[in-house]
Amino acid sequence: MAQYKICQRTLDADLLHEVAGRSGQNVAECYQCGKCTAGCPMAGFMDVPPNQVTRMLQIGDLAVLETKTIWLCVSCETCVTRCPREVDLPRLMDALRQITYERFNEQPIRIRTLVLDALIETWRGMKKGLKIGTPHAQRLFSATFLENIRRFGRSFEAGLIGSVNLNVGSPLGNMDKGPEMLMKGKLKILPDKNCAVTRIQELFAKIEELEKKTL
Amino acid sequence: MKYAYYPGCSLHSSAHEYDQSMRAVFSQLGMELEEIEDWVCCGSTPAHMANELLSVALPLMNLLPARRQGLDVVVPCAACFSAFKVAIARAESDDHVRGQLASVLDEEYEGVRVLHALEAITDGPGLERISEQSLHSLRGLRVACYYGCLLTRPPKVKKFDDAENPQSMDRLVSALGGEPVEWSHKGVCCGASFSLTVLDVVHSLTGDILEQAKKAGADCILVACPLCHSNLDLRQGDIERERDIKIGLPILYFTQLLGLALGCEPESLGLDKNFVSPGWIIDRITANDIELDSAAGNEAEAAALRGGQSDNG
Repeated sequence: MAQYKICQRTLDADLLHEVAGRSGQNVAECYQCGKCTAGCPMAGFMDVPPNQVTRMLQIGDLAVLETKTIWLCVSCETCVTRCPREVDLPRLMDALRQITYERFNEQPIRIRTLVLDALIETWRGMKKGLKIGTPHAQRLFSATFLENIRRFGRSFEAGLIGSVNLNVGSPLGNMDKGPEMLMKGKLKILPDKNCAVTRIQELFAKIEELEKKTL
Repeated sequence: MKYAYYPGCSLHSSAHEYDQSMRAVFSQLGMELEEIEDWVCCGSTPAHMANELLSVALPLMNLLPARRQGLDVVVPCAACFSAFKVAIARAESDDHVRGQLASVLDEEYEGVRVLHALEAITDGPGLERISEQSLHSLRGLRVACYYGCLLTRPPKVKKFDDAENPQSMDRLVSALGGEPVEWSHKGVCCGASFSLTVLDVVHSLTGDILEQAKKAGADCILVACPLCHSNLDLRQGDIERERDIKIGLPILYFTQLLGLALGCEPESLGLDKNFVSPGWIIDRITANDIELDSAAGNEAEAAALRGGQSDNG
């Protein structure tokens, strides 16, 4: 059984300050009533229930960054709507996601690492007979989505689906819907052309400059 | 009444019928939509998962042209609507964020009113006027109104309808003579963008929504979000096979149903694009012709077909 030593050092951990700063939330407000977990549509799929994420932050357990939970939160906002202390848990989840996202971005071969991780996780999962996606798939999805809008200014759905599929090792995923969607005019083969791509690229560049990080 | 219109990425592709029906309905109701020039993606879910400033800057970049024209902004997609409302809330409450925004957008933030399409339609012309303008009644149609997550939650940010038991779509259906059903899953998450990465979860959540709507006796489900529509419609067949059940519920954007009631042609509302065919619903509604009844001097019947505004809320 894991043993936690709660002392000033764990409570002063940099991570906790960083999470508090980014999210504007004080995790000490949470008194573990469990209402968030009770209403969370994803709780049954998570490795750690939502209220335990707050608990892990309260006691300084850095393993919170390794959980599947933070990437399985779908930001449905049910928890924050019901929390008697008004702790914005989706925002805490965002802060944790942003931190892990940035740690990946610090690696020089970021996309290749993400793809490799995703493939390995998928293969491991398949061996265990699991179909549920992993943090890597969700992180990859976010990264691919943002790369797309940086290139085209708007989300290019066909490109997004294609690259996510390839990168998680299921190239034919969702392909059965493709033909019908194409016929009904619900799928664009080429991205939208006429929009302010340069403005978006400038925005990304300015944010990277301001925050000294890669998006 | 003129609005700046932000369709969002989905309405230009997988949710094209939502765009079609939005334009048709707004036109019928005498409201003008002017698409924001050179709009960019709002960032949706991925932006706030990756970078806080990006998630706030992207939506606000789109609001600047509207503000210059002095127009309120109408947004049909719930995810885009959420991105806008959150960005505005952050900018208005946090000086530091406002400062950062000014440096990356080269413009000072100023408030703009952003409305979801459902809000613009129900608050704008008003239910009474919509009811009077309707040519076909929804009488005999039982509708499960599905609000999803982002239209109303969190209430302090969205400031629209009730977060636990929303009623705006229900009231619209009643005003058009239809019967909104009471059901358990009107605000329960469908799994949203996990559709591409964690499909099992979507099948589980969306499957439950479909089953509960069916159990409540609904003939169809009404939605106000492209991703909800996609999960409930595109995935319905796979879910039926997986659970070995029969659902057969057409999924309609609320603008499509409203458009039918107002007398728009089904093709102009994109009703040929659904995976689960709404053919029988179109037939039933177009058969409820209010004008015929009025013309025949049957005012009482016509009034009954129009329906009232229920006080479910």
